[in-house]
Amino acid sequence: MVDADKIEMLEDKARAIRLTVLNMIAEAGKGHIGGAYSCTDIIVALYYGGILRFAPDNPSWGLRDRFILSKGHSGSALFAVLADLGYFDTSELALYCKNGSILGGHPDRNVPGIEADTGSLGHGLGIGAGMALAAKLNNTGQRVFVLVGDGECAEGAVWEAMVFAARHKLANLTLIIDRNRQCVLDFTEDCAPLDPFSDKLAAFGWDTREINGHSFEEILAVLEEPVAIVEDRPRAIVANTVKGKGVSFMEGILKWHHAVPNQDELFAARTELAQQTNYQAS
Amino acid sequence: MKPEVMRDLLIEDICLRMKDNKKIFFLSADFGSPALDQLRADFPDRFFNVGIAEQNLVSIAAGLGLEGFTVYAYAIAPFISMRAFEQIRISLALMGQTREVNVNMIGVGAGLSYDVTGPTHHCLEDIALMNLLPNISVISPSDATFMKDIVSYTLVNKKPSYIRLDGKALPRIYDQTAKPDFNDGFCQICKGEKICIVATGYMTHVALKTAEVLKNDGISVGVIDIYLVKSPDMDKLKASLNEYSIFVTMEEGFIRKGGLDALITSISSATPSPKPVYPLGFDDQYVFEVGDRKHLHALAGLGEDRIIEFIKSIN
Amino acid sequence: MTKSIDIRDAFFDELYEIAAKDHSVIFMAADMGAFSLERFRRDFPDRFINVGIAEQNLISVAAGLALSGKKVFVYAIIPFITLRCLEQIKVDLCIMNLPVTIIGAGSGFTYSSDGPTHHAIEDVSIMRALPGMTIFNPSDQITAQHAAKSASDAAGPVYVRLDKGAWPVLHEAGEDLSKGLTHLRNGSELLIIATGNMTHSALQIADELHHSGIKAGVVDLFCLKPVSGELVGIAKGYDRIVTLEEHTLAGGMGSAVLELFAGFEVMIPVKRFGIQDVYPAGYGDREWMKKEQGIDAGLLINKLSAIYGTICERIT
Repeated sequence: MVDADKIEMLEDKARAIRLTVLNMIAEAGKGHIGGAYSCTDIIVALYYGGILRFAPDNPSWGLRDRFILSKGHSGSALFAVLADLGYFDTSELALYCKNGSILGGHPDRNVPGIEADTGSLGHGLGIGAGMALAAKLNNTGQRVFVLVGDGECAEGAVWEAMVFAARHKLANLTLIIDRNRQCVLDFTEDCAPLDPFSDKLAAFGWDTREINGHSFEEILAVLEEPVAIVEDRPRAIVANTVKGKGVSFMEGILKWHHAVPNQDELFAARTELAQQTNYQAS
Repeated sequence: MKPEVMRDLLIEDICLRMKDNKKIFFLSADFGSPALDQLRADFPDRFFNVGIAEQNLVSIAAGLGLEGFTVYAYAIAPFISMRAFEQIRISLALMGQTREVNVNMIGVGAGLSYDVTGPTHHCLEDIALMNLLPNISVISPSDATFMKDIVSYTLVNKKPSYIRLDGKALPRIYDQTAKPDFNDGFCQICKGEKICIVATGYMTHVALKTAEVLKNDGISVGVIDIYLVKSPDMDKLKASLNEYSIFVTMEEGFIRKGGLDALITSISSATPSPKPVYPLGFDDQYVFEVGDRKHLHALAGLGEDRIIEFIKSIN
Repeated sequence: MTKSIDIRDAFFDELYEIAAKDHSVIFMAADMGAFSLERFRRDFPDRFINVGIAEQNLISVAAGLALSGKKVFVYAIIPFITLRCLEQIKVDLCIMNLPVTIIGAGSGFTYSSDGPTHHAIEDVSIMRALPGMTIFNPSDQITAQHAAKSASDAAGPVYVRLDKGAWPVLHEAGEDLSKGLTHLRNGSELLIIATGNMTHSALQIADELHHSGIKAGVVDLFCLKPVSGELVGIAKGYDRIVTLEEHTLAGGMGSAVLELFAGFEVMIPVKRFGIQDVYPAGYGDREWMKKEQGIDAGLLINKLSAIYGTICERIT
């Protein structure tokens, strides 16, 4: 059982990150807000929930755990977290997508704390598998977490990497799927369906869990489980999420993949996020 | 005329043709546009969103193409041109040589049109990559003038093509009433004396601006816009180039790698007395700095002042 | 003269020596072997990984290993290790500038009768289009060893286009190969710039042209990216230039030479020989394929004698 104070702290943090993302995207006039919101809680749990080992003052610390945001278009949420943790100055966030900034529409390794250049979908899991293999060969004990989108799983390369990770028994590799059930034009089940997703992952040899990706209790419970609980299998977590989570008029609406809120919408979104003092996590 | 987004006009025309031509399919790798919403509403049976899976997009399009359908396959330019490259090579270029495979790839986001999204979304390699594949036409329009002609071309040509569209709204270059012949593949928009700028896509706008500024300084340069990069009418193009003694190529792509500059260099060097060709474009490195198109151009030495200074230096 | 050994063995034996000393070296294959690799797999089992027939994943995993400090060599048949996973090479290796060496087996028409899916005739153009990529196309065992050494020292991505078979040795052991080219034969009228196994044809052609009184020189260009500026100085000593490659003319080695010359304002006429813009039809052995494409030595001798016999006389 995860303690209530910690949950409340994480909910506050997630709300703050969502507000920051909203401001970044409104300021830039571009960005992918829906997908950033569906995975905000997962990223917050990884960084603030005591899951990842990291050192903001030493981003290249060799023994850090690796986190790869394979769905790079959600970079705004990760940037907001990294800035908040002190990887770089928070003032940089206001420059998101502006001339001369280090923060573009997708993450690259010029940004302190970013492990791999993503933005083109379907690369992160393979890269993560390589990192996990290196850690295993070096016997250095780092864990590797890769967050992919469910729409991204239409890319064949993702499934190639799943086969590889299972074959090489990469128990130090955790795949988290942001299962918001949407891609850009459609709902995933209407264009490239994945259900029964957990069964597929299990059939590929992964230790598979399914959780509510907006419940910190469930996210932490599964992430805190010792990795060797099922021997020598990589772990996959299907996190059921809602695209646009946190702003009711964005939730589950296709256009909020990359729409930018106008002044009225911005006001409404800010108000709603600010009001969620008792953030309901489901 | 106000700037237009080429993809919308192209899709509107494809939509019109689909009404009479039941053999046309439109496939997307989870990529949209306002005009596409109408198309899929009108033709739910002939529109498919295959999801974020460009390799599969090309393979499925090829299967439909081999069965006699005309297919438009639509995605973000760097992903359709590079992620699916080997599928394009086998299923379109190779099979297109011996069979009719009328698959037309529409790649949106040529060059740096997705400026702030970073190098994964920049598309600076595609002209060179598509040029080297046999049996594929490479179409790189500079404005919306030719959208209908492009659709007609693909319907008549019945061979695979790669249509490279800018992602941003651009003003018209050509007068619709006096537009050049699309099948020539190029147009000498203005004549000059010694120097001719050969450009494609967005860079044709830059070339025209450059020529205008130089004209005020008393230097008259020619501008040739190449919209059918593979392949323009070579005899006509050679004749037009022959009037000049120095060439400057402009492309929003990597230079010295088989892109537009290679086309002009190969024409010039095959003559008994080759003429100098100066390629302007992007050097052999990715652009990480974040910024809008103008900013990124300036960083790459393609700012207006630099280009003008350079052309004066070789005049 | 050194007894020649298979160009693949020369490369992989050198790689074995490197891996024996440098434990960060990892070899990964997409279900592709070679006789001289068996020793590597036996002696370094942890550092030999077969990912199966999955080239895209091969590149992404290699990138992950490289991001964790490993020096990775990946291996498969050329069209699959360069084209199927092109966008992974672009994003994971070139954009991130990682020390991963792509070893492609079967340059040009090596896999002749396997048909066009297995022919490697576009790879140089494609790899050349990617920023930061270094390209080696060895012509003999010495340049193959050099490619292995250079690749293991490189800080960024490298592509090695590996031929097969034991070819005559063209270079001296210990020769300085750092420029990526060797002016194998001097001349003044016609310079033949060749790469890979076409260099052997170039020497044969140059010999024949000498008999007809044409002073032909030969350069072996085994590093195709970057092409050394030294080529400009060499070229300026000639009246005419010919390039030879077992590869498409679109964006290939000849195109690289033209682009280099354009940059240095070298105004010497260049005639390029290679594969035209159409896929070869029909199946046959490598020599047959080359004849069909008009790039076998015999045909080239006739063509070049016809073209340059008269031109060179006129000049002199």
